[in-house]
Amino acid sequence: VTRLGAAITEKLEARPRAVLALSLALVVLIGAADLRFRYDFSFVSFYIVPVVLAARFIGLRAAVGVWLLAGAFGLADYLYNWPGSLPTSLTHWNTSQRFGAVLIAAFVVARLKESVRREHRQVLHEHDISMAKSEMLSLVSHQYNNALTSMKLALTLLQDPPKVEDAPDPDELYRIIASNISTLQLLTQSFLNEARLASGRFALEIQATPAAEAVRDVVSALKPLSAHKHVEIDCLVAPGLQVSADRDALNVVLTNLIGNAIKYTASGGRVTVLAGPAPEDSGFALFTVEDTGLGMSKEELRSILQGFHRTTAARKAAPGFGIGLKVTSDLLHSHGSRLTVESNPGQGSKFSFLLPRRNA
Amino acid sequence: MRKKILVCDDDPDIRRMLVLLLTPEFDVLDAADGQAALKLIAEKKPDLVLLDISMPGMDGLAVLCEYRFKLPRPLTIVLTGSTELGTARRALSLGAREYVTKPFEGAEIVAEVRRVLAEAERPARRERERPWRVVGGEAA
Repeated sequence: VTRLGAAITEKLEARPRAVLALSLALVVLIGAADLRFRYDFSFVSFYIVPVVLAARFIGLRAAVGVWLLAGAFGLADYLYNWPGSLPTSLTHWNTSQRFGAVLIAAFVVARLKESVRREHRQVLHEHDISMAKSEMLSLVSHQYNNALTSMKLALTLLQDPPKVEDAPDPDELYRIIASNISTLQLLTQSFLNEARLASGRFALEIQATPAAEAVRDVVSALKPLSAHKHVEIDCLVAPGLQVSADRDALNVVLTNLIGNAIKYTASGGRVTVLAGPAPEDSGFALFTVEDTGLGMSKEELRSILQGFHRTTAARKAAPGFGIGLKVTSDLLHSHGSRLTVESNPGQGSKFSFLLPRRNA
Repeated sequence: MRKKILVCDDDPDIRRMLVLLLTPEFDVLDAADGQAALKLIAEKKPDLVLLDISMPGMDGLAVLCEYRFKLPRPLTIVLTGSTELGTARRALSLGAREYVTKPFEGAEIVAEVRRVLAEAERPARRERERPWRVVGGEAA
């Protein structure tokens, strides 16, 4: 019986319009019966059925509507069947009490329904986040372990080179170690930044920051990664360009964007970093990071910006937490700016943002 | 005769370096994912497989499931993260001989490969020690 009840409830919940039609039809039926047979069906509170139906499956407003219609039928009944008795009937305490009780029932049911729904949504949301976090955690430990394994194996091969024809080139092994250190650094940084942002400890110190220097620092820190992946980075920064920004935050933003571009671009690809005055001389500087990599769809973009999410293609392509872009967009947000993304699956991505220009 | 070993890991660096480490002693094949590994197992019949558990697409456990009931079945050492002991246990129950947790040392993995191969060579303990007597045979 419980299962049958649950099945019916589910069906009704899915069709609010049908429920409304049903409630109104019930009111009309009961009202018409009253009018026709001069018997007070409504008096034995039959109206409670359609009103509560509407309250449970649609909402309070619909319930009040149904209740008003029932009231109108009640009035019509008095006018039609007992002409002249209206003034005394209106003061009929019993009747008005019944109608009031029906309305209160509607209130209670609607409120209950809303609180249950809210709780359900909250639980679902928390479940989603905790699932995403625990999935991320296992992914993270996997990535740390893989990077450490790579470095350990490379060290073994350097210390004790195997005597085989296809002997490993020490340079290649050093490159593997360097690029894995870069990877670990990126992972650690993005994790720490996320924690700092989440706890509100990312105090910004807005100052004049030379764009060229900021870009150069990030690109040289990421060199091992791009060299290992054979991805070329082109930088074009307007000479003397200065922006109002927190140095650390700008470093994090650029590291995330350029690091992502390298990670998700196949070997032989190209990453372009541009920084210059925004068009129309608006007093802003425009930063753009463009790659020839994986790209992504609009839906994927949306969930990525919420954090703890990575696209299927990204999971296959490179290690990461799925929080880099969230941190980036949060940091830009705290600068009063925002991240703009143009991307299509398979056609690369273009990330850009504006920062206020400072005259040197 | 040199033993044949298949290295299956989706990380290209780890795969290449494992191949380099094992090449002096063994004939080494490599595969980047589960599908390729299954194909090589069927075609080249390696003696031992070094199998990474977490791979995109078909993961290590799925590969183990696939050749669980097929013969000849290669000896398998699975490579797992240190936090995935449950997964390691499942791999063992699916017929893997041993598991090694990442991050591991180069020497560790070579030693483990040697040990598992040697153990498989040795005849079963009971048979070797013959703790029974044949009744009526070998008149004392």
